[in-house]
Amino acid sequence: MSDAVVQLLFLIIKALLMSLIIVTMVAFIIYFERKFAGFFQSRVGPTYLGPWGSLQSFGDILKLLSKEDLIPEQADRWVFRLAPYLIFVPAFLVMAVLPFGPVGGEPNLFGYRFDYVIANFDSGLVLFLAMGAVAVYGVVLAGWSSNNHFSLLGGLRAGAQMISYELAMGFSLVGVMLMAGSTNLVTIVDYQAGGFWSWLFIPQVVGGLVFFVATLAELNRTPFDLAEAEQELVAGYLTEYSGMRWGLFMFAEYVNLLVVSGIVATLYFGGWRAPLAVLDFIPGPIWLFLKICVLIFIYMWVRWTIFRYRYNQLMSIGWKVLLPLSLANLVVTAVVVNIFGD
Amino acid sequence: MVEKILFVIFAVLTIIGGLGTVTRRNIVHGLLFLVFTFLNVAAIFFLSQAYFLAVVQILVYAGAIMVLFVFVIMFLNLRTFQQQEQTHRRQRWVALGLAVLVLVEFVAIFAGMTFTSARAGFSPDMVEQSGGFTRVFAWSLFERTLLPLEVASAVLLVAMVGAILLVKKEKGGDVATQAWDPEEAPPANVRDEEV
Repeated sequence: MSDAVVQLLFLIIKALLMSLIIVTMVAFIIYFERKFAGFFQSRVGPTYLGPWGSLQSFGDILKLLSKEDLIPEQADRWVFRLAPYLIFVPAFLVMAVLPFGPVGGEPNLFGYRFDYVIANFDSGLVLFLAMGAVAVYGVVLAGWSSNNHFSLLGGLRAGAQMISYELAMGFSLVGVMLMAGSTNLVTIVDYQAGGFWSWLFIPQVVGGLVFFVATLAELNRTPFDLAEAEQELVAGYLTEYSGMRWGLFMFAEYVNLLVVSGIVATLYFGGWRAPLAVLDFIPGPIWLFLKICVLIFIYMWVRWTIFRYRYNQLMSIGWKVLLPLSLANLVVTAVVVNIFGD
Repeated sequence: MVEKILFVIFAVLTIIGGLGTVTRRNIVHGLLFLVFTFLNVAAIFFLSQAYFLAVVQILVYAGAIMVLFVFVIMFLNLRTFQQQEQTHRRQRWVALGLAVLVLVEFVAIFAGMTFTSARAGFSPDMVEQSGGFTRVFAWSLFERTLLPLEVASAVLLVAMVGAILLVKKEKGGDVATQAWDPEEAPPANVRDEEV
């Protein structure tokens, strides 16, 4: 077979496998979120379905599928139906540029070259930012189309929050781009080759922390979950959604958690690369998986430990703390790279 | 061949999006069609291998500018817009004439343009050798056309400051001409903004 056909075949296999892995992982992430929430609050969490309740998410999916799909009479039907997909699709698209193993070089599979990335894409990091920006539509339009005050307030809050924190997020990422000299995630991982001391979280510790906090806001997780603050807004923009449409929102939220963890692991913790050269015998995808798991645990840890901020506090943290910090990080990085870089 | 078919598909979708934008009476639907148009333009950039431009198109136009539009329209009660009557009916003939004029201009400009002249001497191999599209794009933006870029950004800044001034004047009479006095106590609703 010609190389182009084989590469196309590889591409289809990679895309299908990636989707399957994401869906399976998300089911278990939701299970672990509930289990950890239980531990943090001295409860037990789900216990009935499967060993230690581990199949709970699959039961929930069946339940959601069999529920009635309600659309409010005064809602904008088209936009109401469209909104879940506007959150759902961008999250998946980012996974296409995430490298999970070595890319390029000698043929490594039956005489053909198998790249461990779906799209070796020149502007992968910018794509991540763009998809984050598009995902705002889902939230804002879900809130607007429900024709419900709680939904509208939730949507507005979420939109304002995501726009504010995107700035700090983008600026903190420029530090990484400057150091690696590229916006290609594959190149950024290659830049971090050779042990954990060359990982970017050491020189980019300020930018990394700003990025981490900004992603907490972008993911709408406590302490920044103002958009669906149960005590004041019922469920924010999700109030009118039911059944599998609601399930899609939940699902997208956890796909986003997975994607963001993958991006943090790739940008600041060496991606699929082993922390020590002796551990190189363990393949790249497994390292990336382990790093993502640890990061997801940290995200859950933060969510169930820290209280929600008030809305004006949230805004002033974004504009008065994170944005100046990320700008300072950008300036210092640019100067250092210009003086000491090659 | 595949690229040509894809180009036709995305071009048709772009035009459908544009038509939807101007024909919807519901403003949010119109906006969504506009976003759809932007996404299809981005897809055409992708087909031309202008990857960075494609992603920036999504990030800036679909992601940043249109989200602000959606925001503003959500704050207004737009359901009343749907019942509003079009009052400038005679304008449509002027608009039609201007549209035809612009179309003729575009055709006149693009008719004399071949793909090599539009690329300004860049071939895909050259782009590959000089380190990818993003690098070449940055080089031509910040080396070859630095002055026009800076002038354009200054003009945009002027427009932004002007817009803020206009809004201020509308709100409180002569506020725009007065200098802001930091010693003055802030209004009651601003005071408890601090954490």
